[in-house]
Amino acid sequence: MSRLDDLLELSDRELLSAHCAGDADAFGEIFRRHRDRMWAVALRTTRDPEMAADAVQEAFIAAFRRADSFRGDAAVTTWLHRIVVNSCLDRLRRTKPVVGLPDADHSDLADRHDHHHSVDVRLDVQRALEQLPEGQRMALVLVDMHGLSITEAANILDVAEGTIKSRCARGRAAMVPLLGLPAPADVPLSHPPKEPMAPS
Amino acid sequence: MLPDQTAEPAAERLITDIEVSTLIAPRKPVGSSPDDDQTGVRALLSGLPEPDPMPAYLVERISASLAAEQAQRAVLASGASVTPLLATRRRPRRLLFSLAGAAAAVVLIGVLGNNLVRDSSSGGVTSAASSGLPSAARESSGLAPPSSADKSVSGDALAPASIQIRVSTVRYTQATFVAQARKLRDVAFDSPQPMATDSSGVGPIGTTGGLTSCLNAIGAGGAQLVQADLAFYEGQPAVIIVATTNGVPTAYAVGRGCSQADASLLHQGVVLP
Repeated sequence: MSRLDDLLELSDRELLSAHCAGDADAFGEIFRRHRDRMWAVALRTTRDPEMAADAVQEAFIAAFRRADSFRGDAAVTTWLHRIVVNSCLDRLRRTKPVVGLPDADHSDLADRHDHHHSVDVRLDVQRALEQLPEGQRMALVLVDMHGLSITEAANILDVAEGTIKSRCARGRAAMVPLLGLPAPADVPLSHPPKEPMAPS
Repeated sequence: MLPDQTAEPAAERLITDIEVSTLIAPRKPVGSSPDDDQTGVRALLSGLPEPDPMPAYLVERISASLAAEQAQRAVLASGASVTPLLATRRRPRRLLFSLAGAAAAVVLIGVLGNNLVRDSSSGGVTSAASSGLPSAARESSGLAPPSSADKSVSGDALAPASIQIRVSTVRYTQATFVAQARKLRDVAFDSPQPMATDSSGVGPIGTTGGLTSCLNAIGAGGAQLVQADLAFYEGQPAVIIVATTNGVPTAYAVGRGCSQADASLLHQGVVLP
């Protein structure tokens, strides 16, 4: 069995341990396993391929350097998500006045809907997401789009689980009018639930 | 930002699109858990297609950065002092580091150890790598074949007269292997630093003994001059070896795990023109 085959057999935790112990190839395998997922998270967080590329690169290098800071109380993938999301948010916050919402012009919606409507739906959802506050948007990206659990999302965003639930509910409610969806009778669109106080 | 009221007709059209879309099939969540969604938004979001995989250029870019990080780590572990390697682009301060990092990646981690050129006429000992001569010049100078005194590694392994090892982020490919190997042959391995056997961070292949063992496995144990590049071949961590025997340079690509027991040959030996 070759060296690379050996690496394939290892779990993420074992790979990270091997990396910390000086293994030259272990982190490469971690990168191979998680790069597409982290790219998707970065892309959906920043909505800018170039920024996402820089952010995900910075994140993997940070993870390489800080691997010994992994405490093991969460999955490696959750730890990576957290580094990637923080890298993205840092970049977004630094460039916010400049970035704005370059794609927020809805004037071409009518034309576009005559063709490739599935792609259009994706774009429209993306644009609606862009209009949400950062906290709500990130909660929806992680929970609804990437299928992470409330606990994982709370861990990644470093907030209470109740905060994630609240942000998801508020974000979804805010998306309804933005997408022109019919408002469910039992969803308080005008007064979505308040976020709980973060635990001290 | 507030919703764009002018987009209302489009939004109405969007409802139709969502209903007919085969790509996105909204579903009403069932159950009563706290994250249940009665709006349909969750179903809409979860039904969106995943973005494409990470593009190849980015995979290569990050792989190169990680390789540079690994090279720095290996050098630091060996006790040598180098400038920090690059982290990301587009940041002026990091750009300086990246330039320094590129230089560090090219810093040649020579291994001398017991690989010395023995002058049979005078009995004196001269370090080929520390002589400052480019490898091509050393090669053309006609190095003496190794003596039986060089049998110091791996049992019967015959240590070449000179072994030079460097760490780089060069990504060798099958299509361009010969040209890339020729560059390796012609590069000057400056500022050699002895690499500790147990601290290279790249395994035994990064040491004189480990490389010699590998040379025997690929049939290049009789080489007088060996240049090894800890780099990549077809995207895999690899070692590119140019072994010169009686003035004839032959290039190989092997896996990092190459040893006497397992050559892990990735590219058959090819004589360089």
